[in-house]
Amino acid sequence: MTHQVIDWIAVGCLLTGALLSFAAGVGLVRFPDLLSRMHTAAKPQVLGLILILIGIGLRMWPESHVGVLVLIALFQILTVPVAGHIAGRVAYRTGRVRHDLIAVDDLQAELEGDGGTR
Amino acid sequence: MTLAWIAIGVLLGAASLLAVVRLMRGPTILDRALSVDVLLASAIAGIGAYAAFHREPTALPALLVLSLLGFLGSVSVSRFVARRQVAQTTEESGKGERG
Repeated sequence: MTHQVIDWIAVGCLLTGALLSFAAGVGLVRFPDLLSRMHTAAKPQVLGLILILIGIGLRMWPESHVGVLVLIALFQILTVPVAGHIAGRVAYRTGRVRHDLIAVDDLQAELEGDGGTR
Repeated sequence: MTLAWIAIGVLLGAASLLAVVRLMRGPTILDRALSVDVLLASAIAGIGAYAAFHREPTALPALLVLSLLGFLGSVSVSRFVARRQVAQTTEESGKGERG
């Protein structure tokens, strides 16, 4: 009985993670520029992955490999923001961003303030 | 239950296909790096779903390696784009310094 309940919760977590992955795919195709695509692409990389890891841990109950799963989540949480930061920075500074879609652009004023050398 | 597993597989496959569509359409190299990232996230999710379905812990080290190395691609592509842009601006204007 308990096993069945845990299995259903695990499948729910996995299904939500897969849904987030699918949403990222749809966003990649539908969204207009790189920054909004980066926004949608980060969802399965962090939240979706953590949901999937929770699902794996619940499915392998009672000897769920919590150490490895936490390590996977930790590495992903550490590396995804680094990649996103560098990609966004390069995209902005090489002019691959659609400025008409940005509502508030603080970086533009900052860059103009010191002559664009930063 | 079986239907839920099938739905997980179909959703992950559709996500990968959509990422491949963006990979082919571009338009910039950064978009392509981003879609490769999403493709990798779907692959991690797929391997994880496999491990969960078969209750098989042998796939977990693969997940560990993928989550560690996944960001190297997009970071190196971004650095490459930045460096090429710097080289172009210095060639064109002689004083450009935007990286």
